[in-house]
Amino acid sequence: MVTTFRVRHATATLTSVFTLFTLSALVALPAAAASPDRASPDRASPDRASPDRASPDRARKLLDRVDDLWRGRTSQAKLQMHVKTKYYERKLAMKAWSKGKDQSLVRILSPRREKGMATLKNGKQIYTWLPRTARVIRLSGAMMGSAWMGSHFSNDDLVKESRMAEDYTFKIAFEGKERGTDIIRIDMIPKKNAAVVWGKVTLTVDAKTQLPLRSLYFDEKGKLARTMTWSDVKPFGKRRLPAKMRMTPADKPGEFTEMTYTELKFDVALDNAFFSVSRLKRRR
Amino acid sequence: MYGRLLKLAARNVSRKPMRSLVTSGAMALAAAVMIFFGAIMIGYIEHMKTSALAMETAHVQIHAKGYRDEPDLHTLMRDSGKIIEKLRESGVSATERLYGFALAAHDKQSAGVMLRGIDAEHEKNVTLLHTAVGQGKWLDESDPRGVVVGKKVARRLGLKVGDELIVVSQAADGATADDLLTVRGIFRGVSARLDAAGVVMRQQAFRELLAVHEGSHEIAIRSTAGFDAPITNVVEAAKAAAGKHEVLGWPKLQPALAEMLRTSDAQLGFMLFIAYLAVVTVVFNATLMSVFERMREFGVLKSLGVTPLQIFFVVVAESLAMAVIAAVLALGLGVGLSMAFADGIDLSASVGDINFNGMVIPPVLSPKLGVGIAVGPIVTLVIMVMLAAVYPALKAALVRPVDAVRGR
Repeated sequence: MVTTFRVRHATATLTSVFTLFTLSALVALPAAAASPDRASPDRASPDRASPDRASPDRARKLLDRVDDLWRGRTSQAKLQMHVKTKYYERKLAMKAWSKGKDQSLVRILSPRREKGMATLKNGKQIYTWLPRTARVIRLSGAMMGSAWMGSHFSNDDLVKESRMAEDYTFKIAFEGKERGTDIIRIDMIPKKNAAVVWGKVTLTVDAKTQLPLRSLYFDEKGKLARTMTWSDVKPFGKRRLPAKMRMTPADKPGEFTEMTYTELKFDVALDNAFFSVSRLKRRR
Repeated sequence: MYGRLLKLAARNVSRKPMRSLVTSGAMALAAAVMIFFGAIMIGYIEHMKTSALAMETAHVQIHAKGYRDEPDLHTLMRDSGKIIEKLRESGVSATERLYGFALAAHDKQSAGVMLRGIDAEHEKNVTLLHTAVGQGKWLDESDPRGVVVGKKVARRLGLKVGDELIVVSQAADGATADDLLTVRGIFRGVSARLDAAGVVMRQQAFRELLAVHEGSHEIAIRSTAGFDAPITNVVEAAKAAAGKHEVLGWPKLQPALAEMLRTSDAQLGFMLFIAYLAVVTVVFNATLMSVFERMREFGVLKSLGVTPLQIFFVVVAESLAMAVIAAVLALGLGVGLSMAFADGIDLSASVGDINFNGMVIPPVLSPKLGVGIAVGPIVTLVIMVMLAAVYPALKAALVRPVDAVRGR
């Protein structure tokens, strides 16, 4: 999971969600090459994952595990995005591919008006394919703060990458039962030089499955800014993962962006040319 | 008796024609310059106000509450159609506008722009924006996707008239909106905001692109009497029509301009005062000289039984005579000068556009004559000349005949 953020105007920008779902989630992490099974369910079993309760290494392992949950060398996914704001509610179906953490492609399947639109991320660059005008546009600075496909995520969120264990100082703040479930809560304070706008982030994971349950993002004044929740754990290939993730901005009651995976495959065959601008124009 | 004194005064004036002419000429020149300068100042201030208001601001604007603090596509006046209708019924010109942020791209260049959807036909009744197209043409019904872009937008994206322009934005319904537009025209310098980011398009194209089917962000209103007209009745009409929305007159919309105009009268007055002071010194000096030269005469006159009041009258009458001559000359010269340059003195070659508070003002000095600006300096001149004559006249009136005749 990725945690670099930039607060924008009204549009909430939550890097994590976006990167998690459309990029990291679909993006293979180089680290995964070294231990491809790192996030597989057997490794994640509680008896193996918590040998040393006191060590900060345990928190680090939890953070790394959550960061790498959705990562594989390559991935291919189908997902639904449900956005609700004060002004509109929309549901999009999309298909997404990723390779490494730098390359990803998202193509809109529905609604009809936006069908065929595609977003390509290649390194720090974002390109959009606009089928109606049959043009590819590279998004420049001016557009980066704008919402991606009308969601609560900005285009900026697409290109921001970070790792919790690297960008934050952290400690296990709570361990115990919460509504019948054993949970672990890790509190994180961003490091000084980290490109993070939050004052504090907390991550709650299910102690048994070590899957994330929710994450709270507080601004510099300590006020809750947004909440992310994960639910609906399902098997995707060899892994068990939350299929649903919802981001709720704290200052906009009733609004949310929810992403639901309907399909997720790791380590599918994708070459670099798949993520090129010329291929972006092709219908797939 | 006073008739004879007037004759005396007239003879005194004509006795030294050169000195009288110089004095009169100095007065005339000063007053003429004042008329011309005043006309230029007034003209320039008005030009500035018109330039500033005529392109965008107009007289009064209505916005939904909060829009000005945080412009948002969704902060609309949904009843704008009704408001416009009411405004037009009450006899003012009104037009509505929509604004939306978009990414504009041409070739490999892209830039953030502010789309402005306007009612091209009614905008003409409210602003002079349609006259500010430097290259190409204004919007037209026959070209629904034609746009006119700010000059810096054109430069940044390398746009020429006839080029295509792709815009991408987020529509009000959350969908990603894109459209292919054509550059119909490029504005000359209008305002900082329009130059740098403005893409002006037809309202219908804007509404289709950004899925804003009703309402608008801004209503601009102008008195049908033109930009010089007072705005009180416009404000009243706007308030009556606006309901719960925010109504602001141009002094609130352009506070720096209002402040400048408010102080400009005082500035003008002060400059005129300084110039008159110079004139008064000349007149005072000339009158004093002519009085001292003739002290012996005054002494003789007094010995002959002329009263001090009569002598005072003679001296003042002399000055008045010169002032009247000067006034006629000044009026002719000042008005003539102002009329000669009525088309405006274009300084753009030497100074370029003047940028005032984000508004681009072409540096054209056009004298604007009014009764006040023509008659004011002349009346003031006469009054000041009379005042300047008081001391020498007193001096002459109060001279002791014995001293004067002795030449002391």
